[in-house]
Formats: sequence, C-alpha cells, structure tokens
Amino acid sequence: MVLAALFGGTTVLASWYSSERLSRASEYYKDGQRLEARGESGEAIEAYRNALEISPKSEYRLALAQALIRSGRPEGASAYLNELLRSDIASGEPNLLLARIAAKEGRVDAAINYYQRAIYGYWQQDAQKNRLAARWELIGLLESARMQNQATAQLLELSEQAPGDAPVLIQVAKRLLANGAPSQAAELFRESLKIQTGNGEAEAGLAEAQLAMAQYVDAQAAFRKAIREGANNEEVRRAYETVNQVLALDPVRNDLSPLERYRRSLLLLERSAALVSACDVNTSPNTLLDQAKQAQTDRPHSRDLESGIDANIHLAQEIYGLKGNCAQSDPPLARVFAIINSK
Amino acid sequence: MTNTRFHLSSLQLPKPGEGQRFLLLSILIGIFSGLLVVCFHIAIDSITWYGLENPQGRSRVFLVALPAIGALVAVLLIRYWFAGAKGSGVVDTKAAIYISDGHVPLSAVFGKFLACAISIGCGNSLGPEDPSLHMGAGVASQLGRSFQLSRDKMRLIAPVGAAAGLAAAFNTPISAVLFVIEEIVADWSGGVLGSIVLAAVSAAVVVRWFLGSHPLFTVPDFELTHPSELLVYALIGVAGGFLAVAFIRAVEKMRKAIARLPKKSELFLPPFAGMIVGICGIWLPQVMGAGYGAIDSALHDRFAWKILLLIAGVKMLVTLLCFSAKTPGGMFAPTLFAGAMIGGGIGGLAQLHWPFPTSETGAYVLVGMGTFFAGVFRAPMTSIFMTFEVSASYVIILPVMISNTIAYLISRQLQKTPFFTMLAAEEGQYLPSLEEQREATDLRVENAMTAPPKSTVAATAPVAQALAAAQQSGFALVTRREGEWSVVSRQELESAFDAGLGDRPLSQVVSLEPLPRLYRDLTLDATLKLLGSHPLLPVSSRRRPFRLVGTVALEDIHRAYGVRPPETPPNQGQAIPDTTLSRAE
Repeated sequence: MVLAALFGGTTVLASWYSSERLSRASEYYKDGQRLEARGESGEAIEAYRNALEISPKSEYRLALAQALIRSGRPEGASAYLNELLRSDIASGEPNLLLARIAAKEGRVDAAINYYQRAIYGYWQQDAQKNRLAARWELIGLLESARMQNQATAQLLELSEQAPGDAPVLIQVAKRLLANGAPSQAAELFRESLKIQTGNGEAEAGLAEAQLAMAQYVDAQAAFRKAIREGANNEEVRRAYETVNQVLALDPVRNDLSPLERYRRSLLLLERSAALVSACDVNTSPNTLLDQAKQAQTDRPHSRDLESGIDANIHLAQEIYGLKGNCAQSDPPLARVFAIINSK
Repeated sequence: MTNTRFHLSSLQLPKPGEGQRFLLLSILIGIFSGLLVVCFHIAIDSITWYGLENPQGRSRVFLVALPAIGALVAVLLIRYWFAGAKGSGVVDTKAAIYISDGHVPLSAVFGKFLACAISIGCGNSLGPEDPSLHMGAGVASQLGRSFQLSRDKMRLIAPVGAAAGLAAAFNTPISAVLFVIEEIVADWSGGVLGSIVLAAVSAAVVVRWFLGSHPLFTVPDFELTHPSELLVYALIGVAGGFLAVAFIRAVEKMRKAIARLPKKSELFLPPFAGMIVGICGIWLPQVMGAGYGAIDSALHDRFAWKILLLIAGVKMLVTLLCFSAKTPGGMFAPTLFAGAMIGGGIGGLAQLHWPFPTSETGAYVLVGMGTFFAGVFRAPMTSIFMTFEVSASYVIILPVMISNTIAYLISRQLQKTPFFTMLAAEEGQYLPSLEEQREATDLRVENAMTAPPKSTVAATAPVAQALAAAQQSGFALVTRREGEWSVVSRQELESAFDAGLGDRPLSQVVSLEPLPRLYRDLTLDATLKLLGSHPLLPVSSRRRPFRLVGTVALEDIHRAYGVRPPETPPNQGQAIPDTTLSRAE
C-alpha cells in the first residue's frame, strides 16, 4: 500500500517536474534566440547554457555550439558538437560545424572526415541544399590544401548529383577548369548548354576549356558565341584576343598556302626578336637577332619557300629560347610555339 | 485404479528462508529509496528554481537572505521536530550497525528530506548525497523492522539502504556499492554483497525510470595527448591531497571551536554561514548549492584557470563554514566540485606553460573531481569508479587512478584520523575506522607454529609405541592415512597400557578422529576457533597438503600474542583440554 502510494505520488511529481523542466528550458532557449537576434551573444550563450543545464536536448546543445562559434569561441563549441555526434554520429549539422572548426585550425584530415559525414549524414531541413553547401566547402578546402585530384573527384561527384541544374553544372565546370581538368569542364559546359541554350557564361567557359585544351578554332567560335550572348567581360575579350592572335600567327596550319605560312613564319620571327629585345638579353654581333633581321629582307624563290619557313621557325625558336627567365611575356607567341612543338 | 486427482496443496512453494527474504527485501529497499530520492531531487530543484534561478536577476539582499533563511528553517526543523536527522548520514549509518542494531529512526528520513531539501535548495553549499544515503538507511531500517528480521540481519540492513540511497543520488550503482564496502560495512559475505548490489541497482533503475538515464555530467571526448601529461595529472593528485588534508584540519578545528560556543549558537551559526554563501554568490553564483551545473560548465571549458581556482577556493571556504556550522546537507557534492575546479585550474595553467601538448581543460576538471573526494573521504576505489560512472568516459580512467591514488596516499600520510571517524568522535561515538581495520595486520599460523614432532605414529602401531612417542610432549600425533592426522593424549595411552592393551594396534583401542588441517596463512583468530576442540592441530603445506610442516597448540598462540601462560600446578604441565579427553574416553 505504502509502496503503491509512494510510486503514484512520485509519478505525479515526476511528471510535473518533467513538464516544468521542459517549459523552463524552452523559455531559456527562446530567450537565447531573442538575445542572439539582438546581437547580445554573451547573454544568449548564457541562456542556452541554462536551457541545456535544465534539459539536455540536442536542439539546445546545437544552438549553444552555434552561438559559441558565432561569438568567436569555436574551441568551446567543439565539445558540445562532439557530444551531439556521440548520440548521433550521422547528424549533418554538427559534422559540418566541426568540419569548419577543424579546417580553421588547419586539421585538414579531420575536416575532410567531418565534411564527408556532413555530406552523407542526414539533415532535419533542406537536406539537398545543405549537402551541396557542405560539398562546396569541402572542395574549397581540398583546393586550398592543394589536393587537386580529390577536389576534382568531389566536383565530378557533385555534377552527378545535380543533373539538369545548369547553374550548378557551370559552377562545377569552372572549378574543374581551375583545377586543371579542362576536358571534364568542357563536357559539363556542353551539358549545361543543352539545358540552357545560349547561356553566355557557359559558352565562355566552354571556350576557356577549349583554349586550355589548345582547340583554338573551336575556342574562337565559342568565344564569338559567348560575346554575342552577352559574356563580354574583360577576361573573355582578352582570351578571345589570344585565340585570334594564335590562329593568326600559327605557321604550321595545314589549310594555309605556302606563301601565307612563310609570311607567318616571318611574323613569328619578328615577335620573337621583339620579345627578346625587350628583355634586353645580351647578344654578340652577328648573332641570332642579326640573322632575324636578315631573314626579314630575304625574298626566297617560290620553290624554296618550305625550307625558308622551316628556317624561320627554327630561328624564331632559338631566339625565343634566349628569353630565359625574363618577366616579359607574349602568351599568343608561347602558345604558337607549343603548337609547333606538338607537331 | 490410480488416483489421478490433482492436489493443489502439493504445489505449495517452499517458504523462503531469512537469507532469501533479505535478498527480496533489498530490492524493495532499493525501490523505496529510489522513489524517495527522486522526490528529494525534485524538491531541491523546485526550491532552487523558485529561489535561485537566474541569480543575476535577483536583488543582492534576496541572494544573501535566501541561504540564511533556508539554513535557519532547516536547523529549526531538526532541532524541534526531527532530532534523529541531526549529524552525518554516513556516521549515523555506521552507528546503526555498530551501536543500535540497525535501528535508524524513521523521523531521520523525514527530517533529512525536509531540512536538506530546504537548505540545499536555498543555496547552502552542501550536497544531497549524504542525506540520500541516510534516508536509504532509514527506509531500510524501517522495512527491516516491519519484516521482523533477526538482529544480525538488522545490523546489515542499514548499509544496504545506504547503498541504495547513494546509488539513487548519484545515479552511480557501482560507486555506491564500493563506498558502502570501503566506508561503512566491514564484515560482509557474498549474501550481504548481493543484497547491497541488488538494492543499489534497483534504486538506480527507479531513478533512471523517473529522471532519465543520462549520466550526471555530459563529458566531452578526451584523449591523452602526450605521456608527459600524466605528470600534470599527478600534480593534480598532489594538490588535491594536500588541500584535502588542509580542509579536513580546518573542519576539525572549526567544529571544535564551534563546540565551545554556547548551545544557542547552533541556531544562529547556520544562517550566518548561509549569509556568507549568499554574499559570495553575488559575485560567484557557482558556489551556491550542490554546484553540478558549474561542474558541467567547467567540463566544457567555460572558465579561465584563474576563475576556476578562485571558485575552488571560495567553494572550499563556504562549504567549510556550512559544514562546520552543521547546516543540514552532505559533503560529497562540494568535494567533487572543489576537486573539479582545482583540477581545471591546474590543467588550464598547464595548457599555458607545460612544454608538451595538453588536453582540454575539461579532462583535468574530470580528473580533479575525484581527487579531492579521495583525499577527504579516503575512499580511493569509490572516487575512481564515481568519476568513471558520472562521466561514462573510460578514456580518463588511467589519469584518474594516478591522481586519486596520490591524493589518497598524501591524505593518509598526513591526516591520521579519517574524516568520518573524526565526525563520529565529535558526536561522542567511537565507531571503527574501516581503513584502520583493513590495514591492521593479523597474526597468522606461521607466527605461532612449532616444528612437527620428530616422528608420528601409524594408526596400526601398538599402543606401547605410541605411549613412548607421547612421553616428551604429552600426546602422540597419529597418521591415520596419508595427509590425515589424529591426536592421542598420554593419559589415554597410559590407561590403555595399564589395562593390558599395550601390544594392541592403536586404531582398535582409541577413537582416532581426523584433525582439521591448518595452513601457514590462516589467521590465529580462525585457528583459535578450531583449537577449542583439539589440543593440537597439524599445519600442512597448501602446495603439498599431505606434508606435515608444523603443529599449533594453544600455548603457541598465547606466545604469539605475548600472553603469559597461566601458572600450572606441578605435574600438569602437559595437560590436555578436557574436551579431547572426554571424547577419547
């Protein structure tokens, strides 16, 4: 009888206590949110702490950790976030916050680990958006840690998760291009153009990718299209100009007449000599520069044109080689020599 | 035809013996204690919510007055209505075992509940664990009386309840069992241990049912970052040990000084101590009440090392005042609190100046928590397991073992009287110190045994041969078979010889009862019980039990204890106790 009465009494009391605790904790939590909105982070943290002391709910723990991070005390937040993970290791948000803390502290491996868990973990709200954001942050970390291969892998995975989403594909393609993966980037730009035909940004990106792959003719067409579609910024114009110059300077193109190729070889010689002269390289009399000057005045017979072209290109290469570590540069010229060397 | 009628009466269950009833009662004690402690916990929290929540928002006068008023009400309750609730729970539980045959008045339970809930809830710097332990003992005692247990069982019932109360208060059944074994009950058998465990587990289950199963503290993940860090933990142990000794001495001196004051001061001192707590609470609200929230905050790196040390110092001071003024409440929580802050302070300092990598401050807080407890209460196993249980963190166990053991050893070396023995003595009770009992060296068989007789006599040997062997020592040791001996007195042999049976085999003439075998490591206390019915006992080797390595007689034990043998009349020097003679006859 006594036991039953005590049990009943305790049950009633404990149920009141539990509801009272929850309501008090909730009050503190709301106070914390209000204070944080007013920018009183110190007081907000206190309120969250009080809420947590009364009721150990994950929601309060997360709010406290976030408030600590926002107030510039990430080291204090780590403990609470780890506690959240102890009860639920797959929770996305604590993993993402811990990843940011680890990245800030330079613990790259730990940060990658947390980011991966945030990407594959579960989220209470906006799961897709949050996972995407987490992956972008991971990619940024990998890039800054010079882990290009891993970054490329993440970018490709990201592109697979966003089929039909042109802005994301363009963004991914741009990062791939920046990470030295132009063919994958071109692929994604083309894919995004299928979704959004006439997207200037995608056209410009494709042109950049083609330029990176030394596909100058395609790049020129793409740049032209991009400019027409409104992607007419300084960078695009400069790249377009480079493509145009390369195509105008290339003496080994098969579709040109021997005379035109000879003319271009002389042009190549002239630009190489000009570059080396600008570099103020020490050369003795009767040197290569004199030979270049001489070549400009020579008028070979039509049957000797081919040998003249070869001689001019060879001489231009030798002169260009004199440049050494000179800061002066001529990007189109460099690209043309790259084309010649590849043939 | 066979009778197929079914007799229900044949299915009657056997009536449980007292041992079984005791075990069942332990579960009941655990449930009752658990329920009571849940209510106690709710009462303290409720008073704190309505009185002390959000201390920054309260007026200073209110903050100073509340603990003082709480202490005054608590003291009045104990002085005028619940005198049985006065004093330490641990001491009263021990007194129940050694003095009052397990009797703890029920008024002590109600008194502790009300007085301590008010006192602690109003912010006095004391904890709810010792009162919970006392309430558990009181509940157990009442149930024992209701179940009409025998006196022996009644003596054991209070520690069973104490374990339940402590397990419920901390939600730590292992530590509760260990504390009762280390500090309260000296003689325990498997049955008693079983009862203590059952009661502690049932109480913990009840508490978890009502208040949730999460540990007392949520502890961040820690790891030992560098082996040299163990030195920092050892340093925490050293600091904890010395501070514990200083604290105990301060308590001793202050309580002695208070005891010299007029009797009426008992009413005024607790409110005065409460007022000091309130004044300190204006600037450091963490020192008010049991302080678990502050420990949790310290575990999460909330305070700088200077603040941690300041809080530790102020907490020790206000606890000293409250406890010495005899404000109702226990010392467990404040010792954990002070230890945690000391550990955190030293850890924080090490983070700045230690030349090797160190852990988060929280790790030092956790380790320090048990250190001061180990130093004050000298219950090292309890302190280690308590830290483990309240944190549910196994990683920290190695540093905890190091620091707690150091603190315990320093305290034992520098403070001769254990804390609870000191409290009991102040209350005019001279209760045994289990620490001293554990460390007392027992005399053993090897301290008393003498060399075996040069020759033993076979059971088939003639009486005359045995009589010859017994001439020197007064008895003959007879080998019945390998490893089994009997003893025959000279008088018996002489009687047989005089009756003309000198050439008959011994086994046919005298009764040869096998003697119990002794071993070198048996205590003389146990040996004495066996010697009551035998004049001499053989000592054999545990490795080769058939080999006789010595004998022990009553006079050997007298010699070992330094007792002068009683003067014997001439010709009775080799007298053998009557029991043997009568049995032989």
